[in-house]
Amino acid sequence: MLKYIARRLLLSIPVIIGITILSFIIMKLSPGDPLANFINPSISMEDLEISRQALGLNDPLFVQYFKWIGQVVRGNFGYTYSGNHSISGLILERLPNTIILTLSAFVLSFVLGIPIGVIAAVRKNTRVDYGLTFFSLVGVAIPSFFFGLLVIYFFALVLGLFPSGGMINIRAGYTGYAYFKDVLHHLILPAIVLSLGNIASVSRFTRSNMLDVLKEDYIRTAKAKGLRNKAIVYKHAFRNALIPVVTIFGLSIPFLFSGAYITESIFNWPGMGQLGITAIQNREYGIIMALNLITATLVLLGNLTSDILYAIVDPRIRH
Amino acid sequence: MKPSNTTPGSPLPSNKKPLLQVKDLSVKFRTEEGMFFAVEHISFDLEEQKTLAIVGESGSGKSVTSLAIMQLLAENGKITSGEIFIDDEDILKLSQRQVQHSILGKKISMIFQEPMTALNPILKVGEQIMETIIEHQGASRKEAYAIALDTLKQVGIPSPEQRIKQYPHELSGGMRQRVMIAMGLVTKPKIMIADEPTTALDVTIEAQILNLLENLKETYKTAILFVTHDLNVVADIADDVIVMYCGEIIEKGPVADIFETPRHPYTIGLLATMPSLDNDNDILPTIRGVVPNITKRPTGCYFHPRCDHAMPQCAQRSPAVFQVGQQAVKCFLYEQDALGVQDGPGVQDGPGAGEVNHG
Amino acid sequence: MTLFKKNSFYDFAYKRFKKNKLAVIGAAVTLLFVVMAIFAPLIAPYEPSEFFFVEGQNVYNKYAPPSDGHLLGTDSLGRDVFSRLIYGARVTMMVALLAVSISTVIGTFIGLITGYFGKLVDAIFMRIVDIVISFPVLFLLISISTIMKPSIWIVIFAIGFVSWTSTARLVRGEVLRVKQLDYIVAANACGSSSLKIILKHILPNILAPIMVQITIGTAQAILMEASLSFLGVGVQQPTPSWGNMLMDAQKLLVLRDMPWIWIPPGIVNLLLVLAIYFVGDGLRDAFDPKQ
Ligand SMILES: Nc1ncnc2c1ncn2[C@@H]1O[C@H](COP(=O)(O)OP(=O)(O)OP(=O)(O)O)[C@@H](O)[C@H]1O
Ligand SMILES: [Mg+2]
Repeated sequence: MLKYIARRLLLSIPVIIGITILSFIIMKLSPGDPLANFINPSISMEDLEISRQALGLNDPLFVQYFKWIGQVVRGNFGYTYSGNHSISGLILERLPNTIILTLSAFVLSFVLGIPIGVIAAVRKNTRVDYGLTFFSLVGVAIPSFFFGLLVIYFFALVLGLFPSGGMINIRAGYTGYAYFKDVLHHLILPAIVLSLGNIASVSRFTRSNMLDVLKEDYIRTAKAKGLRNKAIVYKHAFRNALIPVVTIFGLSIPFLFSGAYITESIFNWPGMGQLGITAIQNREYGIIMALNLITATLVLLGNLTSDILYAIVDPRIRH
Repeated sequence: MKPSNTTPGSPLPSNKKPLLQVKDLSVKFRTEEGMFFAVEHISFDLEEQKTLAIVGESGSGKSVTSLAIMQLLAENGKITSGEIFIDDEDILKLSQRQVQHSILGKKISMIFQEPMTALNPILKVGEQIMETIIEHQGASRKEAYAIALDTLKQVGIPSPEQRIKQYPHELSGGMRQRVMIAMGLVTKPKIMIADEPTTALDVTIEAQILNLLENLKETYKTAILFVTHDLNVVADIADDVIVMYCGEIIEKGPVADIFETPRHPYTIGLLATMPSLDNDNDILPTIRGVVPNITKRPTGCYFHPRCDHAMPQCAQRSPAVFQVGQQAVKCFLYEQDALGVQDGPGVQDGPGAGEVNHG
Repeated sequence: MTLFKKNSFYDFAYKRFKKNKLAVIGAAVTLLFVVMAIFAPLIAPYEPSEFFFVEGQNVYNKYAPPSDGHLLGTDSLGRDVFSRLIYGARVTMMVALLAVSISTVIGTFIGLITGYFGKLVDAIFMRIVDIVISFPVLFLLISISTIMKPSIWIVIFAIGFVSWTSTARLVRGEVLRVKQLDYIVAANACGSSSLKIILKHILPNILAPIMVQITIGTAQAILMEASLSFLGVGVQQPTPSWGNMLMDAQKLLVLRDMPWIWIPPGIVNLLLVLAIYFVGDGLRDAFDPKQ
């Protein structure tokens, strides 16, 4: 297995380099310049040209790339055009909030998606199956912003059960457990909205895996041994069906980050997505690109983790 | 002359009660192309500690017959008629739960052809053996472990203490099949179905496994229903044999009799194609024509288009089963000579081994 | 030749598809939307960007609730929501279909050559796929749409460029599978040129899964376009799109009190995507006899 993991790690090196190159190219193409972000916007006009020289904006492209990457690996993404904020500072401020939201949605997707898929598969071609399958399809088909708006409309505006946005009730100034409860209260709706599509794909994937596995020879063997249905379904089929589900752990990460853009902007959740939306409106290219690079790296790490996890749960690779 | 169309009864007059009795079993499949019977009017008895072989070409319905007995047919398959008695109980009348609880894995077990896919890849082999013991004998895990270990020894697995902790992919094909056999035997069932258990193995391993089955049959006092398409294997291990063609039994009887005086033209052809030491022809004879598609079977006797002795009536109706000595034959050639006549004209002027095509 | 007899394969699939009720309903609904898109000028009562005034006054008739004159009321600029909805179908479908054409061509091309030639070509392209899929789709889309001056063509290009990876992976896998088939091995041995083998033998064999992918890709492209337009980086005003029609609903007032502005475009969007997914699922089941 160590060999497998080593190989997998080795393969991700060109990918991470590619990610930085692609990010760099996008930035070069954008009206902003990657290195221009490093100029402190509060400096005077005379100093600007000196800064440009010093930053090497006139250097050959690959030199610029290395200069830029040298800053980036140190966690320095430069400054915003307006207001002289450090981009990494802004992102770091938002990152935990996005992680809270995406992680909750991630957990929800699998905690709900897997059982739904299993039930649908075990009850194949019954009303329960049709119902769940229909639900899953609606889940993938509904535009997430529309679902988000519907949820706010009904649960926050009409029923008043949850707040319509934000992460905390600022005026209340909660601390300790009350603060935690308040965040949770704000978290529920956006987490549901963000996870819906993922719940749907996880359950569809689980269902079809489960159906495939139930056709395997070893399930027939288990039946021939006179095992109970429960043992056949959960011990023999479910465990095997679960292994490939691990691979969509990784796949769901970019999905959730994409979704976070929309969910955070609808719910005013103070995360990276909302920062991104503001950045789009203010044409803060530096922020957009930093977000790209950071999420792409997170996604790569997520995929790596899920591949390694796959190796761990599947004895055929483990040995 | 009293031909019975469906149940010719046991070919061997015996005072022993059969362990497994299959009566008039038919299985229908529903597919995109329509419905068809994969096996029809199958009847046979399996007695204590005997080995009954089912032979036939690919697609003749051997596996469907075994799976029907185990009630493990695919979703689109259905038993449309018949009775299956185990210990005088028609297991087709039991609920699914009862079959799981008191028949499968307890009174009857099954070994499959592909030991690679038939074992669960993510459970240790020990676990897969133990769970049957725990389920059927209410043993504790510790007891089950001891029994499993002992059974692995019995089936000739070297260093079973290590093997028991391994996953199927860590074992060779022969070892895996031994594990399958151990799994089938561990609850000491009286009946074991082996569906081509050696087809996936190479010849030396095959011999070992057959040997093992022979020995275990003695130790465990198990009767075996052995499915194969290899007549050499039949000659080696079986007491009685059933020959299937297109989902029907066309001949059955004691192995010695059938090998000595095959009656049905198909059986005769089949035996002639058997490579053996005293057959020094380089080119083995084959039966002319090909097995018809199951959905497009001819009328009358399914074999008549390929039969050198076909008569007009063969194309019109399906022949009844006639008793010739110890053998039961489904062929019009024996219409005159059934009922106690030991040596019908079938042997002298009937179809003979020399009359099959060489090709 | 083990190649399936083409006609019987597709006849069979068609029969199976027809038996699938949801798929047939999906196909009918999709067709309905296509008709709506084509004949938008005939169906829509007004021009999509026509402004309406409050009767007798020089004030825009903004946020008017549904009435006989305006079936679904008017939006924040006093335009007829119903007419915009109808024309929106046009925009949505055009964007989705063109984007899917781009991604299918790129994806199929890359999948074919990587699967067929393997080795270095494969290794390089698969790493490129890895790089592209590391960027969340929406991030790439947003980057592209912010770099370029937003226009409908940029949206089409961006979606097409971002979503070829799944087609490429699918085609590559299918090619690897088909390559093993006897007659391809035989054609190879007979010295047929690679191009000929790919076009004559491999491509026809993998058409079915590509068709399924196109269907599902169309549904996804519709969702992407809607998201982009909702976020303001997609189809730009005054061109109506089902996504940008919902932008106003981010204002609490519109969300709470003017459901006619945002619910209808959301619903038609959901309906069309759902219908296309039904078709995609139906096609997959129809082509895949193992089910
Ligand atoms: N689930 C199924 N659906 C449709 N037809 C089936 C199914 N299972 C078996 N059949 C058909 O029933 C017939 C008998 O099949 P069976 O598997 O019993 O053959 P067999 O004698 O075991 O052959 P082999 O030596 O290849 O194992 C075949 O024509 C097969 O195609
Ligand atoms: Mg078989």
